[in-house]
Amino acid sequence: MDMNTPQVKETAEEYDAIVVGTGISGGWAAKELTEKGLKTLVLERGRMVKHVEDYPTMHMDPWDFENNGQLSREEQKRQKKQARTGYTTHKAHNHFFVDDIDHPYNEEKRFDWMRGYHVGGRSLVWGRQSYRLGDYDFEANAKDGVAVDWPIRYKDVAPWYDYVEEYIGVSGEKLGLPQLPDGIFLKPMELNCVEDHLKKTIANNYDDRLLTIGRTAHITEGTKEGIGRVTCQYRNRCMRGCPFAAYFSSNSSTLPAAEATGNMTLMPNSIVHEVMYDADSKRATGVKVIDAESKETYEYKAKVIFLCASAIASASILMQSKSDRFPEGMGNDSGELGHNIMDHHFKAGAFGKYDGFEDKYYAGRRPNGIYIPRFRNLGNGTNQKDFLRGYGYQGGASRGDWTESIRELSYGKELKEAILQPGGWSIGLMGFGETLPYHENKMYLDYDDTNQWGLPTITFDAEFKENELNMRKDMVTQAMEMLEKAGFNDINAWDDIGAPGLGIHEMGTARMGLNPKTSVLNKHNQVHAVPNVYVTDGAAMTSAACQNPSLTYMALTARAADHAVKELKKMNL
Amino acid sequence: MDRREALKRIGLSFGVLVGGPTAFSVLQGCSNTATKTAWKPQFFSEDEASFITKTVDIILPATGDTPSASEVNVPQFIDKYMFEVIEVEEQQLSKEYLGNIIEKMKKDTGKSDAASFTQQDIEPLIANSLSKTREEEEKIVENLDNYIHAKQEGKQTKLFGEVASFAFLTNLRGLAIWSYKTSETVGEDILAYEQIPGQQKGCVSVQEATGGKAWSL
Repeated sequence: MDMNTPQVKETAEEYDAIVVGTGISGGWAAKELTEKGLKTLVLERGRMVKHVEDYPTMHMDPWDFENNGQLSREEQKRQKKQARTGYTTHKAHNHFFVDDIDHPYNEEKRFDWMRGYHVGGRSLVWGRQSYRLGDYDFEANAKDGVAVDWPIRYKDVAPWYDYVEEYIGVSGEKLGLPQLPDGIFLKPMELNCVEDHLKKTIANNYDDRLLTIGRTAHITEGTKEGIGRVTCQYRNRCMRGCPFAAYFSSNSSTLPAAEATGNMTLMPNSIVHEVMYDADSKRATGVKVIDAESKETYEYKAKVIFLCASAIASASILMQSKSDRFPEGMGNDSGELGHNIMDHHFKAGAFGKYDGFEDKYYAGRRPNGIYIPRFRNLGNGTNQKDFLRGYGYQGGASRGDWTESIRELSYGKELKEAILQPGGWSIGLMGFGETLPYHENKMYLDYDDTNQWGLPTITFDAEFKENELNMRKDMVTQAMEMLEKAGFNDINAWDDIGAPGLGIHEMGTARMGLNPKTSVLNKHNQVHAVPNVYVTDGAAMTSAACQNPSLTYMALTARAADHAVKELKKMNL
Repeated sequence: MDRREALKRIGLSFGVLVGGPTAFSVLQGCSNTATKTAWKPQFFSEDEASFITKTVDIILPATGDTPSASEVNVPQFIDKYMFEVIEVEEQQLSKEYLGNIIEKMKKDTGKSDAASFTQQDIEPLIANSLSKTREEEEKIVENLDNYIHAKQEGKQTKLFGEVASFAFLTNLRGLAIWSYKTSETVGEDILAYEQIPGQQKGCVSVQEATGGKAWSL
């Protein structure tokens, strides 16, 4: 396709705002901007997914799937990269992850880019763990002399965390920890007997750490706004889409709220590839769009643009937005656009078994695990010489299946009886560690290798480094020690680093900062030199912290939308 | 809010709402003779299928109140799974190991076709192959690794009968248990099945939770 002479259809209608993307961040931008009265065009590159109606597997039992839900060899060929997680390409939800052949990317070094192109994006399939960042995180870069300082502090975001949590519903336990600020919580889910045992032994053995139930974006009491959002029914089939809308997703919550205002126009199958720029006004004027199906091109205009397409895609759109003023991509005066990619490094920790509690079990399939908040590098004797920052553990205990029965009961009647009864208890602790921002960890565009829409493909060149590798040793050692002290047996170390991206927390490609020479976005998530363009997804992150990041994207998005509307009213945009 | 109330609230009635791809299942039903004669294995030969069927029924036999593996169509599941899902290399190895086992069985029993093996013929092989100590198991896995590597490098190498039996039967047992526990009959009627639990309790007695059974889901 010749991109220089497109048959552009300029649409007559002008919008107040354009939101690019409908995931966690885009949904929030849509809701906030429309509720504040802006006529908003919401563009999603993928297909429509309607709440409930488009959750085809939500009630399926294992026996309802062919081959127990495993992809056939032919199907596997289309999702080779998406399968790297080991869990995303089950038939229960693989339709919410991209086809790797239709949507290729390139790897100078292995990078696991896990994503779904559809309305709701990854808000449908996210892990739902919801933790606030605190001042340990916002001050970290300045204190350590790493990269650049965050232009905001906890007090700037705290009210927006409140606002977001109140709306989405987050269950959890208040702890009073400065490294993991408390939020507005619905009642916590329950620990099982073995997790509770570990919690007690940690409390007895350590002054620096504790175990709590995961804080998760599930309604555990009452209801929330959106489409029929009611209390969790403990089916643990979240990734298929929830008919009870018990966990937060754009599809059940923010997008219906935006729809209800009458101010939203939602357009699926609309691939935004460029933000248009007017040199005279020094403002963005709109976006260029390709219809994913017909491949026709369109231009849409608006006063303010929110890029919420994901860290990688939003950076890619800015990089493609070239002009005389921005030859290296919109907002890239600093040269940092596409750099500083971070993800959490994880899959390091320990497993163990527990003899005891044989007469105990649990009821309901809890869609949540345990959490051990960060306890390293917080001062007061917790500082480490081998690494900066810290990690939290996620995991859980359960009664196992047949695998441990087979050694003694290798076949026959006894084996069959054993597999129909609850197995022994086992536990896993897995660290989620902070990754530092490194300028050289980057993505860039390959204009020679274009996709089916004639757009450049993305190439990744990022890796974990010494700080992460050293931290992982501690993740393993500490996990093993805690399990030993709690009387677990058969304790096994675990360290399987995978590659950046596997945590599905990619971020940092258009970082916020105080200085336009070293960052892409200002303290309101505006592109420094183009104030009517806001980027509020993972791209904005100046450091990664070790907490799951979606809650922070939501809070930053709501905060930025509030700012944008005020600035529009003041005629500043 | 209890489950009934939650259902009412969102206006759904379960049972009519199994949406999406037609819920075709090879594991449906367990009427034996009808399905058995109708079954045309795709991955296994008729002889191999007969051997597999007897073998999974030795691993998971019928007992007073629970069906055998073949009664819930475990052999059909395994055949289809091996035909459609597993890697081509794994398919080839599986065929090779299985062929090796059957050849050895023929020698040991003096029978010329696998269809005439009885459960009594097969059981000693299973007892011998699946009852290994951890050390024996490690040794076998090492031998297996060496064999596969040598083969990949194009070297002429011979597979130990013992190694082939262990590798194939261990895999088969894993698949058999998995498909048995996730068959409709076992999953819904034998294990403790709650499609919509409605509530979560962290620590309760086994008796209270399931009356002694494992959870199905």
